[in-house]
Amino acid sequence: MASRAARKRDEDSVTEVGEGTDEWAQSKATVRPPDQLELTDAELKEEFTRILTANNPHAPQNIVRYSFKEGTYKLIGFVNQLAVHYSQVGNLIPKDSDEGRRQHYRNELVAGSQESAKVVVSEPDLLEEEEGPKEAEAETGSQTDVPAAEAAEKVTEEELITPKQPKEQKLTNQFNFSERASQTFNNPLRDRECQMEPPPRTNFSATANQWEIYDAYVEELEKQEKTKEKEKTKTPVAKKMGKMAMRKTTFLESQSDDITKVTQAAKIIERMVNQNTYDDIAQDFKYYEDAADEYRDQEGTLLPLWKFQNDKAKRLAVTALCWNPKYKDLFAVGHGSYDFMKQSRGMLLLYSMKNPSFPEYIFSSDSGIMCLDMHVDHPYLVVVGHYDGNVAIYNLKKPHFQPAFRSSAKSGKHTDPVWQCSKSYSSQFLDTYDAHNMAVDAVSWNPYHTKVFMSCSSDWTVKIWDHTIKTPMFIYDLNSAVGDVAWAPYSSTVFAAVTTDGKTHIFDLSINKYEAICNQPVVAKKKNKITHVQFNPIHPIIIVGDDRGHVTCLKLSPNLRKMPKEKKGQEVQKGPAVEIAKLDKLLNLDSSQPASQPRRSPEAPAHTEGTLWKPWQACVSLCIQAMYLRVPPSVGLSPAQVCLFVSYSVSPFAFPDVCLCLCIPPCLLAVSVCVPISECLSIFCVSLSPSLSLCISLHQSLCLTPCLWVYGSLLFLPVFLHGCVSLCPCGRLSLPSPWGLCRCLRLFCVSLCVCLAARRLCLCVGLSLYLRLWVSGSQSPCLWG
Amino acid sequence: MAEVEETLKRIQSHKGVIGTMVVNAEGIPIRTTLDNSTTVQYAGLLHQLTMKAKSTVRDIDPQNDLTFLRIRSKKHEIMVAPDKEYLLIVIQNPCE
Repeated sequence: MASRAARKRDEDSVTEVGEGTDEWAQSKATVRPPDQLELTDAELKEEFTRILTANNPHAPQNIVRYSFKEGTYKLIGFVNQLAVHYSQVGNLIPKDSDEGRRQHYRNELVAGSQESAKVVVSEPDLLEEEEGPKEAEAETGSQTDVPAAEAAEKVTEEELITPKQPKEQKLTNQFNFSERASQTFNNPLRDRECQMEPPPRTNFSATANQWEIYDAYVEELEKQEKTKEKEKTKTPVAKKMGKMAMRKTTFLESQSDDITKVTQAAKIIERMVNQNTYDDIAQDFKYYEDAADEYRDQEGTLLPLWKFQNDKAKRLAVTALCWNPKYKDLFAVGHGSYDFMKQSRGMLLLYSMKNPSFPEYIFSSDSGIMCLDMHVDHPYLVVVGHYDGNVAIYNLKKPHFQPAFRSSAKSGKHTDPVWQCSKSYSSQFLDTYDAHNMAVDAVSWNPYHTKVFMSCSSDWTVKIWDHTIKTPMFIYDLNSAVGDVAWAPYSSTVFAAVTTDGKTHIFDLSINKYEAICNQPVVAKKKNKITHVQFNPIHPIIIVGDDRGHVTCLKLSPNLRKMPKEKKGQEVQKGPAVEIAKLDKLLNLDSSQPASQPRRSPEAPAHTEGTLWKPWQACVSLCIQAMYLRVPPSVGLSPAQVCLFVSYSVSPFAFPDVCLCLCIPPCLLAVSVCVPISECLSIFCVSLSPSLSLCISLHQSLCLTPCLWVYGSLLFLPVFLHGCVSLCPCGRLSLPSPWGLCRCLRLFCVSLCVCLAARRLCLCVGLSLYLRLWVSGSQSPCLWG
Repeated sequence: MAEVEETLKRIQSHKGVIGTMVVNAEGIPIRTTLDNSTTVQYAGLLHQLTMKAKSTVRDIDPQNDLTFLRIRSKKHEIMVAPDKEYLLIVIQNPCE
C-alpha cells in the first residue's frame, strides 16, 4: 500500500506540488506552450542555484502537533524524510532474528525427540548410537531419524508432546496475520413521514371492583345461555318473531315512561314509610311481651297491632281470612256480605303486614266472596267461593283476574274448600252429629290430634268433639253468637273463638278446661261483629275480621302461648294430644253432663281479671229492697231512722247480691251483711248530713275501702235517688259491689228506686245503673283490692 | 303504569312525608315534589352516597346487593331505594 501510494504521489506531483511544476516547465523550454512566461534574455540567463538534498520532497514540512503539555499546537521541526518506494513482505526470516532462532531450536527439538522415541520403541542396542547423534546437527539427525520416525510415528507423537512442554512455554502465532477491514457502502438515510387524521378519542375510566368483575362474568354466562337457547329454537319463523318481538320491546322501552321501572323501588319505599309511621306497632309486634302476664295467673291479653281497612271494602263484611302458606306476612281477606237479603259485590284483598295502609293485591268480583283458600304448594294460587255458587281461582303472578269458573250446587254458604256445612246439622262425609241448635258457622280439625275437631254455632256455643264419640267433649257457652273458631298452630290445646259482640275468646285446655284464659273485646264499637279469626302460622298473632270490613291484627301475650312442658321421650306435638285424650277419658266417666260450667263458679277466680274492659261499661242491675222503717218515710231515707233493708240485685255481669243493712239511730253505725256470694261485707256508717251517708265496706280480702253513698230524694216520694261513688284509698275509685273490690275503677252508680211505702214497710224496686269507667294505664291491681 | 303512579301518590300523601323524588342512573332528577334547587342538591349528594354504599356492600360479597338506605337525622329521615336504573328518594318526618 505504502509503495503504491508513493508511486502515485510521484506521478501526481506533476500537477500538485508547486515547486515541481516550475522545474518541469523550465526543463521543457524548447517547446513553448502558449501560456509560457515571456521573459527577457537577461532573465533567461539568470542562474538559479539548485541544491539537491536528500529530503523527501513529498514530506510535509509543517506538521503541527498538539502539545498537551503546553496546551497549544506546536510545529514539529523534525519530519520523517523517508520515502518508501517499494515494499514487499517476504517469507524469509534471518537466522539470527528471534523468530529464526526459535525455529531452529524447534527443529532441533523435534529431531531429538524422534531419536529418543526410537530408543524406546526399537531395540535398546541402538540407544547409545542414537543418543550420540542426538546432540549433533539437526540435519544429520533428521536423516537418520526419518526411517525411525516413520516406523514409530504414533508413539513419537505422544512423546513429542511431553519433552516439548517443559522447555518451550511460549507458543507463537504460527499464522501470518494481516488485519483487513473494509467499509461497506453506507446507504444514504432518508426520513419519510406520513401523518394521518387522528382517530376519534374518548376518555374512558372505570373501576375494577370485586363486584364489577362478578357482574361481567354473570353477563357472559347469560349471553352464553341465550345463544344456547337460540340455537335450540332455531326456525325461520321463530327468528322473525324474535326480531319482531325485539323490535317491539325496544320500541316500547323507548316509548314507555321511565316511571314503570320504579315499581319495585316504590314498593319498598312505601313499606319503609309505613314502617316509620307505624314504628311503635312494628316494634311491639316484634318485641313486646306483656310482662304483666306473670301477675295475671295464667290469663293473657291480646295486644292490638295493625288495623287493615280499605275504602273500597268498607261496606262489605269480612267473610274469609287466610294466611299464605309460604309468605307468612301475607294474608288474604275475602269480602262479601252475610246478609242474605242484601247481596252486592265482593272483593278479595291481600295484605302484607309490612304495609298496613294498602293491600298488595286487589281483586273485585260481582258476587260476594264466601270463603277462600290458598294452595300449599303454589302459594300464588288463591281459590275463592262466591255467593252465587261459583268458584274462581286467582293467580297472583298475573295481574289480571283469571277465573276458572265452576258453578257448584250449593248456593254459597261458608264453603270451606274441604268441608260442606249445612244449616241444621254439622255433617261429615262419614258421619252426622247432632251438634247445634242453630246454624253451624265453622268447623275445624285440630292440627295435631287427628280425632279432635270443634264446631261453633250461632247458638252461642263452641263444642269440641272426638269424632268417634257422638257427644261433644267440651261445650263452651260464650253468651253471644260465635262467628268463628280456629285452632292455634303451635299448640293442640289452644283455640280462639270470636263472637258477634266483638269479643275474642282464647281457650287453653291444658290450663283451664272450662273457661277462656282470655276474653277481650277487640273491636271499637259494639256494633261490629267479628266474623272470622285466623292464627298466623309462625308469629304469635291473630287476625280478626269484622262485618265492617276491618281486619285487626292482635298479638298474643305470653300466657296465651304457653307450650306444654316437654316430657322425656315424648314429642311436644303429641304431648297435648295425649293430654286431651286423658281429659277425654276423664270426662267420659262423667259424660252425662254437658260440662258447661256457669261462669259464676265458686272456685273460679274473678272473671273480670284478665279482661281488658272497654273504656266504659254499663250494667244494669235490678235491685229489690225491702225496708222496714221505724218512721214512715217522708223525706227519703233519713239517717236518723232505723231501717233495715234487704236488697237483691241481679245483673248480667254481677253476682246475685243480697245485702242486709241496719241503720241505728245514733246514726253512726250501720251494719250491713251481705251474703258471701257477693264477696262483700259492707258496714255502713251513716254520717252527718241527712242525705249523705258514708259506708265502709269490708272486702273479703279484708281491706277497708270507704265508699260514699249519696242519698237524695226527689219530690216524688216513692222515688228516691241514690247515687254511690266510692273512693279507694289508693286514690282511685272503686265500688264495693256488685263487682267486688277487685278492681279499682271509676264507678258511678245511679239508681232509681221506686218505693212503695205502706206504713213502715217500704218496698223499693230499683234499677241501678252502674257505670264503670276504665282508667287507661291502670292495669295493675290496686293494692287495696 | 297507573299502579306506580298511584303508589307514588300514596307515598307522597302518607303521614309525615315531606317530599319524594325519582333520580336516574346519572344523578339527574326525573320527578320531584320539592323545589328545584333542593331536588338537585339531594339528587347529587344521595346519588353518590348510594353508589358508595352499593359498592361497599357488593365488594364484600358480589352476590349481595343494596336493598335500601336510611339516613336518620335530627330533623327527618331520608330513605333511598335503589333500583337498576333509578333511585327513589323519600324524605319523611317520622312522627315522634
